[in-house]
Amino acid sequence: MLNDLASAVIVIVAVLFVLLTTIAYLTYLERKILGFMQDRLGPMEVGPWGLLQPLADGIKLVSKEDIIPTEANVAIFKIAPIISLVPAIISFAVIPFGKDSFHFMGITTHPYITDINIGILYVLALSSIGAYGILLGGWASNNKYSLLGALRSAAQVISYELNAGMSVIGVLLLAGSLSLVRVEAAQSGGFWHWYIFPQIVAFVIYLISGIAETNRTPFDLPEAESELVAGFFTEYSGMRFSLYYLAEYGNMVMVSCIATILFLGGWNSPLPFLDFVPPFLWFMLKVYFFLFFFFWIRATLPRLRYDQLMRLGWKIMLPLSFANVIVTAIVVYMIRR
Amino acid sequence: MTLKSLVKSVLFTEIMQGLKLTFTHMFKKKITVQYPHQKLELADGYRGFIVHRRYENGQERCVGCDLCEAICPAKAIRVVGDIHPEFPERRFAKEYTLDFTRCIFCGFCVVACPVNALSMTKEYAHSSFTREGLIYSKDQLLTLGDKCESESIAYLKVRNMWGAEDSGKDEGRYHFPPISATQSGG
Amino acid sequence: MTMQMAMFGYFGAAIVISALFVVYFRNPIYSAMSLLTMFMHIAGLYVLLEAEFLAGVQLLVYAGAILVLYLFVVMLLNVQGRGRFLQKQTPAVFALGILAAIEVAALIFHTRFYPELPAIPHPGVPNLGNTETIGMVLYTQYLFPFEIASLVLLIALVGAIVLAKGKLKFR
Repeated sequence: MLNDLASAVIVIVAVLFVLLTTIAYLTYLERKILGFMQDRLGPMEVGPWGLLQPLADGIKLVSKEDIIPTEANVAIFKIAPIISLVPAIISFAVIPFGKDSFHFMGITTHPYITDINIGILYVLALSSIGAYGILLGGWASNNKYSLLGALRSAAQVISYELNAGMSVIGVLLLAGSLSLVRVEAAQSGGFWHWYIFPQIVAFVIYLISGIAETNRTPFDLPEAESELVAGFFTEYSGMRFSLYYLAEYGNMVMVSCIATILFLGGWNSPLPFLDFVPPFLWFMLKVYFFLFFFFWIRATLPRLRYDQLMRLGWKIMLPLSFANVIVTAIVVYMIRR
Repeated sequence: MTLKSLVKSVLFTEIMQGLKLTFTHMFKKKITVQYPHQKLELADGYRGFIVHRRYENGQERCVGCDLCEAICPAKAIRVVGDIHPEFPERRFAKEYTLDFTRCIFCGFCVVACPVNALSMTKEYAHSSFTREGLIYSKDQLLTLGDKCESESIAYLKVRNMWGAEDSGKDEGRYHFPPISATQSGG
Repeated sequence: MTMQMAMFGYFGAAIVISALFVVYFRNPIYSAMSLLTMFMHIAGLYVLLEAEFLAGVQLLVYAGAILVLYLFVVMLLNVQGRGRFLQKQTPAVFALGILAAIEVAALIFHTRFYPELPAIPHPGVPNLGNTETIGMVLYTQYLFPFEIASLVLLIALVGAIVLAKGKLKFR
């Protein structure tokens, strides 16, 4: 009992530490990568090669004045960033980061916080809760730009969550389980077992929907600077603003983790003779590849128009993902029989 | 939609091209200059802060003719001319203020000056916490000119010495020699 | 067991209180927030009954999609909170309310309560995961109601499209 509790605490602390450090350094990484892709250097001043920039940003954001607009709905204004951040972080409870259980100070722990049998459903449900933070924050600010950004965001998140959920079903049919641990285990033994190959359509749809769901360029309409100032967090400043920021990056990491687990085999090494590399490192490598892809896309593509976004979501990707589910279901049924 | 364009959009050809372009740019040489640590080499014609100049013998060149004040488009210059207290045949600027908060660094005053008393330097990082700190008097301009003499000569050579290159002299269109004690006496 | 009962008590009380708040808040946004709280506690109740799949779907569908659309409409229409609290009720409403209360009471008194929750895995249920079990039951035993439900949804879908398109055509 005590051992279980200790192992749970160790894993939770480790996951939170890795996650929050990753999020903090993602801001640095994004600025660096964007800079390099635009022939600039990015942050260089704080620390060697600007490595302490996230720390400086954090100190600045925490010590900034907390402004609440006069006509704002104070209670909801205060609670909205929290509603946005909490689902983004607690959904990491079901992500398996490695393969084997490991020992820490004489206590055996798993490389995941919990393995529930509805893992992917849990993640999808929580990511849909995150939309409330955006919607309520935009409404409570009593600012027309915030409200427009929030409404856009809600419409976008609902539309693209459907696509993400539908594209995930193909993988779940192949793996035969909703548990992320088992989906990963089903892809072990070489990269030709990964689900990216039989589910390439679902992979592309999931990636696009993931970018859209996290409000990243080219789908960053909720915070389109040129139209809506900053979208739903126009009125936010200081710590509350940074909570939204953390939530956005947390969601990015989440989408990358899910894409890694479902399509790139999670902690499995691509070739059997590469098994000596710890599974955790493979996992991180793949996640960071997706995160890099996020920034890469941001440096490359301009923003979509709103009707283009909706057309892409409802008229192209949704029918495609339905077709993918039907084809996969038939094929799986034929093979299993 | 033709088959070709369909294939193109299914395979994301154009997006791939864009991604390739941005990826190659990641490894190109960066053009950023890390400013406080690393400064750009400025050209001789750079229009930095305006200074007053002197002759070799330390005599100030300005004759208080008000031409710079007249031409200044930003009305940043104020000149009060007067007769030189020592040499009655010569005028000088009793007061000369240059308001760098208004100055647009167009260089017209340097062009207008008949005696090459004004020039521009490569100084650009002057700042102040008050407005008054950027309104320079004649003495301040002269001190700055003493500090940046080579720069101001280089500027005049590049921008303001029409027809004077051959003469080899540090003079403009008009010849105003420095007033020495012997000259004034004679 | 006591832990389970305590959790059940918490979830039940929270559901009742937040449901009351949904009705009593003047501000429609607050009502929607209470509804969200209620959905979450219902999901918690499902988890307590070891029906994780239902809990996940509950959050995903009700909290994730339907309530967001409610909020969406409330924000777009800028619904005012005034006059919502003290509406004049007709006697018929009271009569209906009393009827509903009697029905609920009757339901509660006629329900056969287990002395304790059935052991998991239940002997009658095949030892599959939660999701598989639901799938098996839904596509064998309850296939007909399932198809009827999908048909009803399809009709609603077609109806919505007809309404929207018809308005466009005759304007």
